[in-house]
Amino acid sequence: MNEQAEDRGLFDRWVNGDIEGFSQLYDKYKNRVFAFLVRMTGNKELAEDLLQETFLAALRNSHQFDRNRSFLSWIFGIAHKRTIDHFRHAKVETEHQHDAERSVGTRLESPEESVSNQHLRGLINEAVESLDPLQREVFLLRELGDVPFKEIARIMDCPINTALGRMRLALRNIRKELEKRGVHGVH
Amino acid sequence: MECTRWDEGLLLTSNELSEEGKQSFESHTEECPYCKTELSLYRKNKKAFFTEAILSEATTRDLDTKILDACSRLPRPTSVVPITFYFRKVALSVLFLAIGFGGGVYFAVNLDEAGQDVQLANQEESAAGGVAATEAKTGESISPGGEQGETVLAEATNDSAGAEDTVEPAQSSPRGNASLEGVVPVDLKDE
Repeated sequence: MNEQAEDRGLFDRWVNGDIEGFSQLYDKYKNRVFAFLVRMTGNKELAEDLLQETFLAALRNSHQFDRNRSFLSWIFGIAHKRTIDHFRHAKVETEHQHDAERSVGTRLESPEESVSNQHLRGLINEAVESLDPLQREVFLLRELGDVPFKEIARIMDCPINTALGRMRLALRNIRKELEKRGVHGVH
Repeated sequence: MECTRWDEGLLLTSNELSEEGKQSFESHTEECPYCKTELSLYRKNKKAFFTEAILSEATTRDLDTKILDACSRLPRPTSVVPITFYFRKVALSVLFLAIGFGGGVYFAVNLDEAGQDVQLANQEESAAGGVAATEAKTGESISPGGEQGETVLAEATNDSAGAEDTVEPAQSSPRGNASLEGVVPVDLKDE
């Protein structure tokens, strides 16, 4: 709740013309939104473009932000819409799936991370990549964006029970994938 | 065996259950090993694997600079949004107040005028009643030709039974715009 109030404060600064407010919100959430876009598109360059589009769209449509909602949910909703629009217009779903398969593992590396953490990140992300796209969307919106299921259902234009069902399957499949890769503690 | 109530467990973790719902599900987990295990595993995985550190993806400094530059170059039409938002609220409130005040003034003025009209009507009525009574008492003939005269006459007739003779001319008086030209008076008594 405090985080939401803090975000609202930054948001108010932003819409009142203080770019520092925007800058702080961007810094706070850029990695989560970027991760969502990378996993949704499977293409890091495309995700970079979509990240820029997402924040620009948020800036242009700041009057549409419902102050009772969380800023993160709102920005994830925009990111989701941008991604879906991109694929609808470009019709490159098949291509991006191939790209995703090639890119998994290489894009998750970070020099400052310990080898074990890096390895775990790789495994988790591979498990997430293996999910059905709709299950992956729900899982990422929930776990990265902390978006409530009610909001997820609205963003994905489906009943809340469908969103819950996809999350259930996503969790089960991730667990199976991790077990296959020898990750303990998931069961 | 899967439990159909596990979805409530997911809603519990996203704080979307009511207080009643929370209590209901928590007491359910005491009896349902499936939900208990699932809830415990999900919380454990969330803490260990589904974290920001593991799932998130770092942006490059170049990308950040590029995006922040692009955003700062955008015109800021949104800067007036809170003002217009509050202005709209204030304007609506003022409008409603003005409508309420205007309506109140309108009714007050009309009621006042209506009161005056009623007073005038009462005065006229009482004055007319006084004249009719006076005429009925004195037995003077009342000039026929209008409804008002007839009403007054009828009242005067009712008031005094002995004044029937003076009423007869009024019965033969023309009513409204009806013309009596070419009508021959017939005396029914003779027939």
